Amino acid sequence: MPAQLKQTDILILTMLSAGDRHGYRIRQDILEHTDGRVRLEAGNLYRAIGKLLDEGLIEESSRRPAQSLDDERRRYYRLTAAGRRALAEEMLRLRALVRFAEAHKLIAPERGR
Amino acid sequence: MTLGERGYRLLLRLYPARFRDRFEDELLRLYRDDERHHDLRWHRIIADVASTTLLEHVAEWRRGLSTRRLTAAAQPTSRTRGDGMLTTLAQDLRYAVRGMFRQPAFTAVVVTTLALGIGVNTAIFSVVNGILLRPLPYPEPERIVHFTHEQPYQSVSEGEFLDYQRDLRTFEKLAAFNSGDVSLTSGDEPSRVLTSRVSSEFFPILGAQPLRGRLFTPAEYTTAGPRALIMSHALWQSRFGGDPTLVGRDIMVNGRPLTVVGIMPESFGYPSTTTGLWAPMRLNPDSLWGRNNHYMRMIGRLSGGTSLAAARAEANALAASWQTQFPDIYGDATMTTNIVTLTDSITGPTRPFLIALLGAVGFVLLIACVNIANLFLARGETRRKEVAIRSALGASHRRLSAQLLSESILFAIIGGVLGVALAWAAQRALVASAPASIPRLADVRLDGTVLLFGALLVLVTGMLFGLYPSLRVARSRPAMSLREGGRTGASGSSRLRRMLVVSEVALAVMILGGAGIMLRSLWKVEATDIGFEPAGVMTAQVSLPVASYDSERLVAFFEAVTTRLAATRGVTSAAAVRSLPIVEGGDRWSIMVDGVVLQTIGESPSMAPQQVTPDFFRTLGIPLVAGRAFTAEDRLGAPFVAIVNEEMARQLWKGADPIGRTIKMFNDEAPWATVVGVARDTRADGLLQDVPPTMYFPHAQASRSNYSSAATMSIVVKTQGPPAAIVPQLRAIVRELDPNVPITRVQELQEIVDVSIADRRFSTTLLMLFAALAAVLAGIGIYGVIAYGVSQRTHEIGLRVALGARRLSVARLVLQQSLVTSGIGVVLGLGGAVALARLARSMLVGVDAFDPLTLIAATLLIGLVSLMAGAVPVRRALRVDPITTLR
Repeated sequence: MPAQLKQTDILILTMLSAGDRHGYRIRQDILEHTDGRVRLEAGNLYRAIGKLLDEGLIEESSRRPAQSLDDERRRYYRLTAAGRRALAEEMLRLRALVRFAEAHKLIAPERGR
Repeated sequence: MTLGERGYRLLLRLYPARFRDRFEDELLRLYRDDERHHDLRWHRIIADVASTTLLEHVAEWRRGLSTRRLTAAAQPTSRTRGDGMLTTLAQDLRYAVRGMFRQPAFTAVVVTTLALGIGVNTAIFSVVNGILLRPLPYPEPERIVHFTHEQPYQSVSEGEFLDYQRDLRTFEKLAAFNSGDVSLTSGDEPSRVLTSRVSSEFFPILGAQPLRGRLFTPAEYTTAGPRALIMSHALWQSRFGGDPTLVGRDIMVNGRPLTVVGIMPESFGYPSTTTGLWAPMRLNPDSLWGRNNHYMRMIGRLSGGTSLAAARAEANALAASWQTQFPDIYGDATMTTNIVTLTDSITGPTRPFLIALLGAVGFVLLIACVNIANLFLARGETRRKEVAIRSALGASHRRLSAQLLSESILFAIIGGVLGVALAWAAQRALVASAPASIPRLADVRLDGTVLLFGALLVLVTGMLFGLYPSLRVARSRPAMSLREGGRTGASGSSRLRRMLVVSEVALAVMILGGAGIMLRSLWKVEATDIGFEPAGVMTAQVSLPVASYDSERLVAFFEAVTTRLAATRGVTSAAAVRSLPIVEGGDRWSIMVDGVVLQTIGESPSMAPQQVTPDFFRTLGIPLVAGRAFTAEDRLGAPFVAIVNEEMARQLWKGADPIGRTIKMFNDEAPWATVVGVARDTRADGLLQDVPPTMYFPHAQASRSNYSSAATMSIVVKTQGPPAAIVPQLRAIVRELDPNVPITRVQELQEIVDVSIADRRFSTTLLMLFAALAAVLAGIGIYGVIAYGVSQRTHEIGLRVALGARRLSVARLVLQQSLVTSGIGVVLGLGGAVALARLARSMLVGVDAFDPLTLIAATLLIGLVSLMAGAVPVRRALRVDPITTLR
């Protein structure tokens, strides 16, 4: 059983749910999707990646992008089935929390659903 | 490979081998990506590495624990790289982390002490950095100077400015400016805005460009040119909601429409951060009074390669030449220029206080280091056996001392990280509670420079408290330690530890003495006789537009306001005055005195002019030492009268009775006014400046006897209840008479007096705080040494008790050592305190650098602290049971 997911773990897993990525790309994606508020420096990023690898939530990907895009021999990561499950559980938990907040008028319910 | 990458590679070696094996290549790739995108943030990288190395080592250690539990054989760590110095360091760090977890109390004390020391130092440094060190936001700020005259002129006249501008070669550009309030009636509420009139080179010297619109055109600087204004970002936002269409429109200033041609960026705030408007200064070189009317200041940009000294020499020579050229104007007074860098002119008065604070926190950190060194030494003694065994098993001395050193640096890093967090909070609290009179507060923040300073502190403190203990280990003889059996302490070490306590007591006495003498100065300043009674007085400034008020209407208006206010319930008396005491001093006007023949205006005495309504002296509680106060009968048509203060009477008549003497303005048309009273001296310009010689004229007669009746007056109201309660009535009365008149600076007089010394009170409070911190740390240090001494001598004490020693003699045995140690520290510290106070003499008021009272107080306090620190170990010594110790 993997330990409780931290904010950083959730962010990394979420970015990987969109497809395989290398470390720098994960960092830039997080930066972009948090409006520049979360900037992971290398040590923290790879510490989290190492933990996720150990817990079997992600694994190194053997798939490589086209040679022309692959500027260096970088390591790519992808979600494992377990990782996918853990992330989905986390998202359901978050959704329940959002519903709760909506019901108590903290935020307006999102329209168009 | 870039230098940065080389540095980063070195940093990476701090990680445990396992982590490096897995991710080093990736970390380096990420680093190179950032470097390529010019997105490197070193302060973040360092914080990142510092925190994650630690966490990884902890994780590694835990992994090690669980592995050891599973398999009996210790697993060698996978090693792919050769043993470098930093790999050894990583091993040492892991060992240190393990040690920290083993002794949580020791770790907590060391880390807290360090965090406090590093935290307050970094916070104060961030203030010093923002105010004193960071360059002003102008291009080549070191070439910009502030240029005025020394006493008695201080300011610069138009004629002088034009001469300087024409003749000085050491200056590339020179500009004149002066500041005053104007009434702004555009927008919702009429208000007063601080406005600077500036000559054409003002903005170019500061390299300032407008955010919107433009600077002034040459035509706008001529007397007949179009009237234009430039607005500050703050005024634009607060008064016009940042309206982008404001540029090009007219606003009503002093009852006249003026065009806003530009808006300055937020960062621009010269001559004051509260300046709201800039207007072109229109100089009139043909004006008759142009050389005698000293009312401007100057800024200049030095020519490339010119030194301040060269500029001063040239300007002084030019000023001296005027004395022969215009003997009528300058008389015998020597004209000396006052040229300082712009930075000095802004931050000069704050500098000594900040440096004192930085010194004080430096002492606190030193004491903290001494304490920690002491703790490490004490622990070193208890670990002698362990070290001896390791050394006997073949560990080299170098290896052992390096390991101890890396341990202390690790402590320093953790203390530093916590300290920086503390500094961040402390810095915000400091800026929030600092009085507004401190310049450049907005520039105070935790930036790269401050963090670098923090990192440097960490390194230096780590070395400071770790170096000696680790060197001792390197010199120790393992065989000796093993043979001693770890029972008796080495006397060499205890001597060193007592020396450390002596030095920390000395440091604490120095900082206590320094803080004490500043406190005495503050008390002296607070006890200054200001000459009036500020309690219960409300003040508000009212400005009438000269365009629609002639002097008769001006006088009638203020008469009506004060009469109506005086008739209001809860009001004792009300009056109006041209310049409020404490904050509005400065002007000096030339006069003639009966019986004194003057050749030139240069010989005429100059006095501070005041205009008041009849009840002024009663409202502010200023007693008349001779003669009478003004009455409602002292108006135009009646004989012209004046009241002088004691200082003016002393200067002009030197003890003879001033009543009945006459004075007049240095002007042919001005009438002679008879002195009818002498008022007590009141402070005009802060609490510390000398009382200026002052002449009071009735506002009703001032249009003739003092050139003109003032249009801007401060209303002063003495109330029976809380002064602020009168404000609504005051506003209503003024509004009823004229709804378009701005009412500003609504403040209690007591508050005005308090604010004038707020920065001294602030810095003194901080100093006291740091001194208290130092005393507590010193106390902990003394306690540590005595307690350790008692624990080492338990055997001896037990023996003495067994041989019949009395409790008192046991207590004396323990306390004697403590008191002798702190006694030596106190003596050294007192000497240091006097030396320090001498350095800080410029900040002292009414106290000598050698102030016995402060020194005695500091001594007593430290004596008390060391007694308290000794009390606990003494109790323990008294409870020593000879049977158990001797067995």
